[in-house]
Amino acid sequence: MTTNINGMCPEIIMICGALIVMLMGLSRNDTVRRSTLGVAVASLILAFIAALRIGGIGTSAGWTLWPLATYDTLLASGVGILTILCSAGMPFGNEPEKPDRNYRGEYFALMLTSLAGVSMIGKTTNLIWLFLALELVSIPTYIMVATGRSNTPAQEAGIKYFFLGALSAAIYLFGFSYLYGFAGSTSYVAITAAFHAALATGHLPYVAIIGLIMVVIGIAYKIAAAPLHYYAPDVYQGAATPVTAFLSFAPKATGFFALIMVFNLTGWRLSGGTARVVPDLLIVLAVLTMFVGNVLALLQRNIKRMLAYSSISHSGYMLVGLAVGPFAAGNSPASGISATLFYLGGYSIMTVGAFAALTYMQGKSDAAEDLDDIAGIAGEHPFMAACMAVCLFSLIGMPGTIGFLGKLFIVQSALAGGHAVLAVLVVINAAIAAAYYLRIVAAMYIREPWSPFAVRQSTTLKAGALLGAVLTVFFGIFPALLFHQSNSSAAAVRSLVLNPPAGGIVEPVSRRATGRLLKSPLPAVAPTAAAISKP
Amino acid sequence: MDYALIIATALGAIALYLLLPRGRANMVKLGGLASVLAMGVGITYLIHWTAAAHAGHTGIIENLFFYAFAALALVSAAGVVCHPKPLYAALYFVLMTLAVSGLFIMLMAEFIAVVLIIIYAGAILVTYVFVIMLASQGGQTPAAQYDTNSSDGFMAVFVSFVLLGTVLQAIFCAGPAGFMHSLPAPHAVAHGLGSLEVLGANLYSRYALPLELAGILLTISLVGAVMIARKNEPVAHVLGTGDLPAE
Amino acid sequence: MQTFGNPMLYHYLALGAALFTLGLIGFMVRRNMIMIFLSTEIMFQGIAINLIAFSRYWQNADGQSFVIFILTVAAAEASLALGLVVMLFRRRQTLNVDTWSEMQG
Repeated sequence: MTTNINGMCPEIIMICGALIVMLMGLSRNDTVRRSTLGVAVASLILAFIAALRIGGIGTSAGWTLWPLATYDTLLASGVGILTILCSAGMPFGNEPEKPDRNYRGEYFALMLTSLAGVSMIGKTTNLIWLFLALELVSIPTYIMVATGRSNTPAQEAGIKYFFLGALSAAIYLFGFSYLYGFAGSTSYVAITAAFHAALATGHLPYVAIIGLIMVVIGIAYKIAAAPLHYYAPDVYQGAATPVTAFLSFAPKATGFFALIMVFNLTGWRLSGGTARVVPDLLIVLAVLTMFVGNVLALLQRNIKRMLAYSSISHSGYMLVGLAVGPFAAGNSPASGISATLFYLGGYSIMTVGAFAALTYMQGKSDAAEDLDDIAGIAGEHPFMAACMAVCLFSLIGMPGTIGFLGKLFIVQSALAGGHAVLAVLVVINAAIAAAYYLRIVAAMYIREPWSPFAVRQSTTLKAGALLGAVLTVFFGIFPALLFHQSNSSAAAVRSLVLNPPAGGIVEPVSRRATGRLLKSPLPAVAPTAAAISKP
Repeated sequence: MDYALIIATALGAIALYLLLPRGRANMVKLGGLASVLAMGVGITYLIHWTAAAHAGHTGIIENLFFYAFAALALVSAAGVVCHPKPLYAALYFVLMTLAVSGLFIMLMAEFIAVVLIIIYAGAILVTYVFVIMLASQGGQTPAAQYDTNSSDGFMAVFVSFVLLGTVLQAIFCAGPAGFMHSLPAPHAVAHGLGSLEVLGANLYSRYALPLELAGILLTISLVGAVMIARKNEPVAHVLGTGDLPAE
Repeated sequence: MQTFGNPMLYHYLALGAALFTLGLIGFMVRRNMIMIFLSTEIMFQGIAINLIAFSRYWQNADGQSFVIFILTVAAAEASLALGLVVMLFRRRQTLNVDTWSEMQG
């Protein structure tokens, strides 16, 4: 595997940053420990710049879809900065009077490693790498959930998240093992070739279909798609709020990029025969996820649970884009992949911004989670309330914000791709969603406070929330930057699908596999021992 | 439709459902009978299928070792799932590991077979047995209570065996593109498939980058395990979400 | 020539799927945290059987390498699970997961 090490530059920076931060966290000197946040942000900024530079270099390097990989890295490092700003003073709660005494360094190190995993998904070139990248994202998040704050809900959330995460890993690994068995190699090139050969004959082996389904189900856990969402509310509620912010971004981005990578293998052409099951599964997941998320969110009074269900429903919107695929008629903006990627970027910014503001409002104990706890907070803290309101309006999809454009593109792509019903369902869900977001806004602005507020005074947090709100509006008015990235990624996916790299990259598949892949994925005649031993 | 396959799967489901630990009447004998039946039907089916796919040799003798190890693996896996005492369940897990590594040796993956025993039976299981003993040492709440009562048995067994049935149908009834092939004979296999040489070359050339990632992953999880297990001073009551020991 | 050791690919696939299923059932049914974790390990071993059998079938070492990585990740998860178990046992003096379901909604 001739991996371009230059291409891995951002991830290397992030992991080096993680190690430095981890060591700095061990210092006896308080100032050094406090500066870990700065170092973490700095390494992410460096990674961001490196990703921009690399994005210029390679567009032809083998299988890797550089626009997609660059978008992934930019998203991971960019939104990563927001999540780190959001978690100033983590972990919470061990000693309220001395919140910074504990393992601060390790916490940011975990975040950086996880972000490196997120940013790597787009660059993977084989299933093993994809598996490790997925685990690199997940394992730090298990630790962050369990240790983010030291009360029982956090630990309960930690157990649930860990065990169900291990289960989901087992499920998608089962899928990977069948994909490997189907193609005879773990490399994307070989699997793509196998899928193309099989689809050309019009008969995809059941084994490949089962493998795909298992992979989709396993990854659906990561993006909290219904019916695999049941852990999300508990985990989001139990974890410390900055960790929740991270969870609403990192696993989701990972899941969507991983799904895109996996569907790239199939060439997005599964509409014939039994293979039809897989896109149908995506559509069912999308519809279920939207409705379950939005309807259950209406019933919540706990803000974190409400936002958890809201993040589930946003996964549903993005799944609609995936279900539409890269082939939507007409030109670029209507492609489902482009819409999904754009929405992913926008969603990450606005949801992390909202969580940053919520962290601020919850105060030192990180305990104020009910709607009543923030009732009337706009009077005392108008600035943060405004930031929160902007992010919430964007989550609703008000014009002028990035959330509006994201939903617009999703609906457009669904209409262009011939999924009019899905488009209508998205619009209906957007209307349902407005109800509960507005309840939060109304609580902040209209109701009277019933208890004094003890907010978490932190300039870093303020900066995070402000950045989130500003970016939400900025990209809402000038979407071109983000749109360009998502669109070129989608174009790369499309061109890959249209011109698969049949022999473009030399990857040492075993002798037997190479000879066979060109003909058919699996031979019709059993290779008897005698036939093989013949010279 | 392969009725034998469906019957075997269904029998397996019934067997496992009966074997599940539950507080009231124990139906282990019935479950054991059902599982023996299930495996009998399954093995007969496999032999029959082998004979049909390759008219000429039935292959029962050739596959004897496979059937032995497979049966051992299945029985001990069922033991892990069903045994009400955690310690015994853990020992069943060791047995399963041994059986699986026996299969790996048959598949010419000697190195992995050894590694599997070292890691699972050697490292992981010893630690867990240690924890189980530590946990049952207190003795005031007999562990049996939550171990003998399984939850949601019916749905779990039903869903899982529907999944198994689907996968098995896909494996056996996939038509020409299915996996009805015999494995290449040992002498025909590429030189040193399971040897350290080939595996090492593969790991350090094609998978050099994932190998680095695995290292990072291990580091992080080491740090994380320490972070999680670290004893924090009891400050919970300060936060108002006090945790008193259960009961 | 072939005295033993030449069963067919689907033998192994069937066994792998069966182990995976048993692990899945154990995961859903058991209430002891250690048993839940061991159930996921059973699932991993079912997957490993699939991979090694395919590796033998295709005669390349990809599947075996995959298993090495799965073992690594399983070991990493085992360390985390151990940490969690110790932490939780310290809090509640029990390994029963059902005592950890306070959040409702």
